[in-house]
Amino acid sequence: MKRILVVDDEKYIRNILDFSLGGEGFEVITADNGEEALTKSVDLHPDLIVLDVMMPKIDGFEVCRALKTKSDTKDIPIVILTARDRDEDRKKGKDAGVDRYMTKPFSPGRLVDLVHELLGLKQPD
Amino acid sequence: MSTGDVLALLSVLTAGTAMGWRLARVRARAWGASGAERLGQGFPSLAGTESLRDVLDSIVRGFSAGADGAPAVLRLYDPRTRLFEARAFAQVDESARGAVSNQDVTREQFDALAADASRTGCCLRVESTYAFGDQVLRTPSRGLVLVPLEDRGVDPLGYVAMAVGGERVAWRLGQSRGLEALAAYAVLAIDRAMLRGELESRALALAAASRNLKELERLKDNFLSTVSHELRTPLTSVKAYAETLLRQSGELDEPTAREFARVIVQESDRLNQVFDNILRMSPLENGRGRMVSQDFSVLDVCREVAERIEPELQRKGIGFELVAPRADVMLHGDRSALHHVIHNLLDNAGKFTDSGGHVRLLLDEDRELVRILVEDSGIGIPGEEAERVFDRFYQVDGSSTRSYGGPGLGLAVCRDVVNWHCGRIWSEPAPEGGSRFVMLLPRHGLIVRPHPRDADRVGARNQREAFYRLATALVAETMRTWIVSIMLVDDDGGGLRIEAALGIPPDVVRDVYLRQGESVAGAVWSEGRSIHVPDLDDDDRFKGRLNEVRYPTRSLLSCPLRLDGEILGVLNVNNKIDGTPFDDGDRLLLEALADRLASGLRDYRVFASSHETLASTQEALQALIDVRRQQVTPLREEVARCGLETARRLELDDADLRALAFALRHYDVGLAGVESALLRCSRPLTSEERLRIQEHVAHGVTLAAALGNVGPILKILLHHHENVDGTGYPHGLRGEAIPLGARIVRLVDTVAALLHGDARREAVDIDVALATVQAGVGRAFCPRLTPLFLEVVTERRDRLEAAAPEDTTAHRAPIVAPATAWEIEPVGAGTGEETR
Repeated sequence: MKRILVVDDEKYIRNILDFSLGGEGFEVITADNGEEALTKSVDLHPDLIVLDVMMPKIDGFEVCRALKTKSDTKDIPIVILTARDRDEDRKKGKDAGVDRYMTKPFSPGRLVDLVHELLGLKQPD
Repeated sequence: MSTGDVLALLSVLTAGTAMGWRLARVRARAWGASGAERLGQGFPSLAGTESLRDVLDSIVRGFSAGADGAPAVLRLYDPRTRLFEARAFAQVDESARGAVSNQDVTREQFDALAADASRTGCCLRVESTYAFGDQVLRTPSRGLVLVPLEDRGVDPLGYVAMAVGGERVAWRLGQSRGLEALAAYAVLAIDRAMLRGELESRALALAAASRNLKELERLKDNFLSTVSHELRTPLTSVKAYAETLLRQSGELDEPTAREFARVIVQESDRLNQVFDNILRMSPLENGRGRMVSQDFSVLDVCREVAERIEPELQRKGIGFELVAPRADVMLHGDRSALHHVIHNLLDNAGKFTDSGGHVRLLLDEDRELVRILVEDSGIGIPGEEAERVFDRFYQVDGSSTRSYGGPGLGLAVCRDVVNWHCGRIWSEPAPEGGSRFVMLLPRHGLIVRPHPRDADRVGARNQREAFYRLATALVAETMRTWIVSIMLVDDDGGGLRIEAALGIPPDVVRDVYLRQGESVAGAVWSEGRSIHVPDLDDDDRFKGRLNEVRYPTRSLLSCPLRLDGEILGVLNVNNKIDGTPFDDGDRLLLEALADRLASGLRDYRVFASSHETLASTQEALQALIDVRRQQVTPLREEVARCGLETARRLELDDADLRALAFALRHYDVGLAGVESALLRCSRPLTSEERLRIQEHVAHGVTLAAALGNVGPILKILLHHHENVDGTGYPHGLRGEAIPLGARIVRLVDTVAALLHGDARREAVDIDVALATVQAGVGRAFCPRLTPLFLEVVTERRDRLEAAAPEDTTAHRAPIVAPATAWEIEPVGAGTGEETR
């Protein structure tokens, strides 16, 4: 079973992602801030991370940068899911090494499709 | 000045000496020795590279020397204060300089003199019997002559007054074309020097404007970013849950579907609250026309909000409790705005509290106030952030890390609403950790009597109400009271009615009608004097006579609102917030406020003034209130009292004491025009930044001048950063030439700043503060006043210590204008001379 780490400081967003991804047969673990995200990434080795940007303590871009520079985490695909939609934000994401950039408000269905795609799984139709 | 110029000037001077001002004397006495080169060195050049002060010094010395070493003073006219200010002296000793400086010469006095005095050439000869400020220069053997300095402007530039030996000399001097040339030259030199100063300050203003634009741009970005984050967060939930419901409608079990629907409803409500916050932000709302006052139950509002918010908190695992008295708590104010504010505060508390914590809403009241507290056991607010959380643009520091989540727009709206109610709001650490927001609201909000003429003019009522809101808020803030009433004599002159009131029940406002001599306010009207009742219970004068006072009164002050000798009405305040009785210092302060408000009152009553005048009055009032709100602390009040007491011991008259009482509370009003980032800046300032802060003095004078004729106050505001050694600003006045009140404010400001500390300096205790002031005597502080002031401070030490902030509230230290570094550096803490 593929394990997905969902990082967001909004409980409702964590819950709906848990529901949507869990319903597709993924094991979902969650974190509500950047620090926790780093710890859980290292300790629990998720197969993919869905990451918010504006969070307490450490922001999503920084988490991404940190993970992408560590040898044991650099291959984990990271999907940024954020309300920040300006070009400069996208560029920041790119510089930090994110794999995909999705803006809020988002469609849970499309996020699930994206996760399947990144994990190289057959897309449900 | 080239040699050619010097020779040209010399020839002009030479031509004029035939009538007694002989060239030999000019050479020997005026400019010291031989040769045209010396003349050029001694007199200001037209290149305008000298400072205005040096130019004035040279000019006055030139005049004095030209008149056989006569004592001379040069006064420049300041159109804002409408006073001629003594700016440079020659052959006048220090004590006489003080005497001259303390004699105000008003524009009216000067114009009258110019009309009355006999004129010879460019000289006005002043009769010995003529009452005029500069007569103090006169001696039995020397008469007074004035040489007006006039350019082509509307206002005079100034004049030079000289005490010359005998009528004949005066007459001869007047005939001298040399003097005329000197006067013309002086005008040019002064104009140049002023122009240069003006250009420098314009350049500074331009740089500041461009910085402000950038800052505005940044704020706009932050604002948009905050707004979009606050809108998108709930919208994201709504969309995600709704879409999931739609896509998987067949597969969801009933409880899950219900839960999803509930999230959608709840997040829609949140979205609505954010919209409400945005709409309530004053710039978008055009003067808060939406706010309306009515009587309502605060308890009901608290219950309504609790009902909505409690389930949300429960779901997050946060305990909630509403603690309220059993009896109803009524308030006169805007019900929906207050509902919104309480909701914001609870929402905010919930945001920063983890599961297992609690949020508490406490409602309480006393005779004058409704008190609403929101406590949580959350992460708390770091001390230095406590004030900033109410800033409109706070939260987004541009980075994407939300250091502590950020309160967003909600708290800024809370502060706006509370200010509208003339109340107070602040945050402090809660007793058991977490944070506590305290909101105090006067039980009876502002009531403004409707006026028949309101209907004649579109927006008149709103404008009048806006003015009265500012006026009463200013009085309440300055006097530290919750009960203020402005009474006006009605149109037929028959009686006094309450025109606007804060803290007074509506039926009292509606019904009170006093004839001359009737009750306290009626007596103030008929006698034209203030009435001060420190403690009503102990006062035989009013026992049983105060039937109309149907609101609780312990201590009261009442003073006439006077304009051009006519009594327009009466200004009343009751009960100080701290429970102490009003004292005579408060009486002076209220009288000063009454003077400031009187012209505004007339303007608003008859709408005689232009829109611009009304707008600048409002801007000035708002600035006074804002700066006062940022600065007022019990400690500052105590230090100000020490300043007033010092003046009393110098036996200043009532008018001067009034001006000082007002200035002591509002000297930093100009800080309203300085970016707050600069005031909170914790690194050493650059010299350019210091200049920008120094501009607050001029800005303050402009603001205060908008409140009518306040010459003596403006003088204090203008000079409260002068040093007795001449190194202060803006004019570099020295010693006794600095207005007495300004020298006192200088001491008060320094001591208050030392005791409070600021972004750059730790607070110090009283001993260190006193030693620091003592060390600055003769440099910043007046050798004559300082011992007296220090004596007063020492006597009142207990009160000062009692008023000192405790550590927990130290973060509420007010903003202060950073003074020059050395004077505020505790003794032994390094030289700190970098500013000079």
